[in-house]
Amino acid sequence: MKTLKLYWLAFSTALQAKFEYRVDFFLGVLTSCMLQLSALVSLWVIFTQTPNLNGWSKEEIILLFGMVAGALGLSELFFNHIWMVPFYIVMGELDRLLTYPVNSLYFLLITRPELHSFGNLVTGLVLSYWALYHLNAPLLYYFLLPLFLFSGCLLYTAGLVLFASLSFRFIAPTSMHLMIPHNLLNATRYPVTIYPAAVQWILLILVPFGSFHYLPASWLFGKEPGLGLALAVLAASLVFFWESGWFWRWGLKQYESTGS
Amino acid sequence: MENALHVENLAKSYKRSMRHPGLLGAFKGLFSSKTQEFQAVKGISFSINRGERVGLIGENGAGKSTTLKMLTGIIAPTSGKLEVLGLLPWKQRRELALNIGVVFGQRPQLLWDIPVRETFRLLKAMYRIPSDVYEVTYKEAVRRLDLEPLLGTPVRLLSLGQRMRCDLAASLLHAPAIAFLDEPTIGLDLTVKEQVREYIRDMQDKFGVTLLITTHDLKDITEVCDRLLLLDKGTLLFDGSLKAFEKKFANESRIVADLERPATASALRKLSAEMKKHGGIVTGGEGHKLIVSYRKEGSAPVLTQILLKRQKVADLTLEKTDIETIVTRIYRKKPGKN
Repeated sequence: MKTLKLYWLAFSTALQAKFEYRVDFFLGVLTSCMLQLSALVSLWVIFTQTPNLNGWSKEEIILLFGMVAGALGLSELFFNHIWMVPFYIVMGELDRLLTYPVNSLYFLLITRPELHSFGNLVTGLVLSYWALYHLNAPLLYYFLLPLFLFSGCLLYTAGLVLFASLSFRFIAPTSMHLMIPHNLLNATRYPVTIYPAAVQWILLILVPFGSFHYLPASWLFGKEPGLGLALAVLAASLVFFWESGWFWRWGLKQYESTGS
Repeated sequence: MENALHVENLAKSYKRSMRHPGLLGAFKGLFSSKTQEFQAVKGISFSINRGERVGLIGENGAGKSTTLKMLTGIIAPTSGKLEVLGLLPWKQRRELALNIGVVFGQRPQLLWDIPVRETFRLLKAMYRIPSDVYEVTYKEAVRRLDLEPLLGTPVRLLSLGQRMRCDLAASLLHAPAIAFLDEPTIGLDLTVKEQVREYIRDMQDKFGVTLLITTHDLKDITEVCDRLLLLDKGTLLFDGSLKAFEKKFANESRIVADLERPATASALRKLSAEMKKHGGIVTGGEGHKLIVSYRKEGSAPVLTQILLKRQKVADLTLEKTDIETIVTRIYRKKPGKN
């Protein structure tokens, strides 16, 4: 309990710091909204050519789309600090973190919230609920949606942690490799069945970004897997997130700081 | 006395990838993975008792910071034994962190964008500082280091000196059992340096904090510490009290005299001969200035008397080699220095 309180205090303190930069906030939110909308436009172009995509209607695809945006937004809001890790390793800036009596990974994750995330978060929520409404989804689904977004956020963040941990071994002052999980997540805006079997396997099992919305959505649309599997994703995301800590610790062992 | 930390044959080596010169060389480096091992700390051993005040000195690259980083659990040693407060730092880092305070003078420890006060509040929760302890340490820091006007300012807007004062206060808020201070006075002006030292001394008195300070400013050592560790190229060159250090290395004192008029060659020769009998050597005799150096303690009165008898002296100073001079001399004279 005390630990949770501490993390909340750390998060809110860091959030407060972020509000120092007002112009950055408005520009950032605007940018992330525009990015989501431009992707939406390309989707709209597809649907002017075909009434459905691999058996998925426009509304159904928009639900997937919204859930990806929402999960991305959540991860950026709470855990965006992970993007700085490659730079910190090169500059030896992890020293400070390591002198604190806290879990270094969790404390790092929550101490640099990204306010731009509101753009993605709001777009995601609006699109998801709009789609649910138009699909006449049962009420239960409305309540479960935030949970599914949360598990998506954990899955995605775990992927980022895994890739960031590689930086300890392969030191480079860029976070380009973190774009891999980012792009994988974006790939799951479309139903995974449109991809070849190998890619499906990657997106659902190996890096299961595709599961947190695809499985629940499939259940909703009666396309196959049931509620049980949808809820299993929740548990799996927690495990996946926890396990990413192993990679972090593996990396930390090799941390060498810098001179002086 | 209780042991605060114990180190045996502690060593750390880094792997550095080999670099080829020039742009073409840099490009080649992309495809070759040859590494070179660099030994930063080469097997050092020492123990520090609770409440001791120890200064760790050495030239740039001597291994001071690397040692400190191993002691605080930031990096793992390559080999050797290491125990701090009964814990293995790099394995039990979090547990250890609760009981130590760390300042890296080269890097700010505080959160960059938020006011100092908020950072302190966060640290209080993080270190689970009991309110009665916090009450004392916080007030003491604010009073001693003049923090009042800085508390509401975001850390990034503070000057170096202001930031350092806040950093130091932050690292001692939880009255740690050991404080590791890496260059706590770097880049500060004289008054702030003095203030910082006074604060450290004060916290040491009040809470019995064990101190390990690395610095390039030897005044930090002479005014705060009573034991000295001298590191050189990763090995421990000296470990002992400041007194012992002076005794071992400061074996020369000087009498510097200002003569009323330059001594003649023959007078100088006679003076030299008599001085020699009492262990003094006339080293400089140009113009009005005359220098007599000696090694035996307690020779000053005799030598001065001889000088006063033989020459008309306008002014006279006795110079003892201070630690700073000794250290500079050691750095410069070291065998095998490249």
